[in-house]
Amino acid sequence: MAPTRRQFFRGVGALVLAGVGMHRASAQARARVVVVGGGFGGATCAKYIRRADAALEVTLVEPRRQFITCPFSNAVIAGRRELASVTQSYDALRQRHGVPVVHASATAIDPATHRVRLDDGSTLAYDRLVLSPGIELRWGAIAGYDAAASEVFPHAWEAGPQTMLLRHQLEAMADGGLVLIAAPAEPYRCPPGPYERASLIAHYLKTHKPRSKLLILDAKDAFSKQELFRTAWERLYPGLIEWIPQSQSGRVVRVDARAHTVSTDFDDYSPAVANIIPPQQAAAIARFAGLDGGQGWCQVRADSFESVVHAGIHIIGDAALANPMPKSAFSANNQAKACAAAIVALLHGEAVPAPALMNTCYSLVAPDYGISIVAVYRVVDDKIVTVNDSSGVSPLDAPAETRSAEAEYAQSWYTNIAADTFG
Amino acid sequence: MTFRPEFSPQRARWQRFFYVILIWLSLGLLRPSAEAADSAAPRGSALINACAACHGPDGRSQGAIPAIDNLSTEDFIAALQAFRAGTRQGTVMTRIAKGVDDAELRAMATYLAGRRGR
Repeated sequence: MAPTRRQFFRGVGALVLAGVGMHRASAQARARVVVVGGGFGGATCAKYIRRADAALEVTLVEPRRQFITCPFSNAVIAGRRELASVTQSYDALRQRHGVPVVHASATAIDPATHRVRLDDGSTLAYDRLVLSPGIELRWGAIAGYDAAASEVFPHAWEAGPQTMLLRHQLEAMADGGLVLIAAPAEPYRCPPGPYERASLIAHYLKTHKPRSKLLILDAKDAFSKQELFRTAWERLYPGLIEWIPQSQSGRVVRVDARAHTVSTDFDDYSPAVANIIPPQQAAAIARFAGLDGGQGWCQVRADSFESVVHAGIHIIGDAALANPMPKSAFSANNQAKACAAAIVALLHGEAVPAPALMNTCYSLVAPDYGISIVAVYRVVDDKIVTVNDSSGVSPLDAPAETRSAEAEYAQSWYTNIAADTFG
Repeated sequence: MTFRPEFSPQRARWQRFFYVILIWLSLGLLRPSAEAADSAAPRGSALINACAACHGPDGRSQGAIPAIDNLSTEDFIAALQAFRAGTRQGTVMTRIAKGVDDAELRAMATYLAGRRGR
């Protein structure tokens, strides 16, 4: 059965209208997304946008040719892993997911004309911009601690040469030396990170330089997984690790790289090796054009991670204020997927879907001793809230098999999140 | 609509043209609705994508963390419900399972089954 000529023309009229609609849809489907920052947030976001809609053009801007991850860099510092094992490539993103990777730094954004400028002189136009640039260390927040001082007292809070510098200093240190770690106040990248680092360095010292001591000078009075860490330290490294909280003059206020001293308000230390983890803020590009509201970190909508300051710009990972989610690789990867789903929906003129937000962080207290913290979140009234009972840490009284299982899970987690992000 | 039974070559051309365009449009329009038809699908994919950070892309884990891509829909739901109820021992999953409800578990299991072999 078929239409008459008149019906046919009426039908063609409808089809032409439908065609116009489709043409518009496909024009939107060719929308351009620029992602700045190729870590766990940015790489995941680029990949998952393309996975959801291969018609979208996604460009990743990342100055580094390969990405050295902070996760498991503490194991490199302690001599348990090599840097190559925490180095990730952008090949799969380019070849498997069709994401061009531009090795340049974003230097400026024009939120009005939707353009981002790169330090190679080029400009990229975007329909949606994702910023996942990570952190910037606040040089000078601790008096005397700048880039030059970090060559003497490494921060090792951005993985790479700093990671190896700290490792080599520990290897060169004589037995009996004092190792000092300065931990910052919240918020900072990877809340349990300084304590995992202390643990793995303690493991190295106990094994190779047993007369040495490790001192943590802390700018706060409590830290992530505190009971679990301290209980484990007493059992695994008795007398080796000492933690000095802020209220007992733990906050480092000054370093002198030339004199090789580290000072709090009341005490001066002359460590053999000092790892200074300074206060941080969102990387410069995420503070451009008032995106951080002068707070140092960027406030975003809880469902789409779109900036509350400038429409069309999304901020994920460490640079974003996403409390109670911690600044972790898992959070960045997780937020990236929520952001990707939101961007795909918005570019298709659809409602932003409810995000599936969660976090899992493993820490190694020893190579065969792992602990974890997890939480599942929901968005309520544009706020991220923790789902009752879903959050928590490993039990304090867990048997050794649980600790070794969590240590193995931590290794497996790294392999899997790296494949999920860069594979 | 009225249809005329008699044959004319001219009309046959119109008809062929009409059907070709109709099929072409249907293919274009139906493509995205395969997922939209099931309103639970976006929730399932969002949650499973979140799981991928530990369990690997589409649940294909490497190493000690169990793969979840090979679980039947029933086994997947039963495992998560047992973690949530505390009747199955686990590490992080006894905590995480408390953050998802039964409708979400079904959506996740359905999405995983759909991704299998892809």
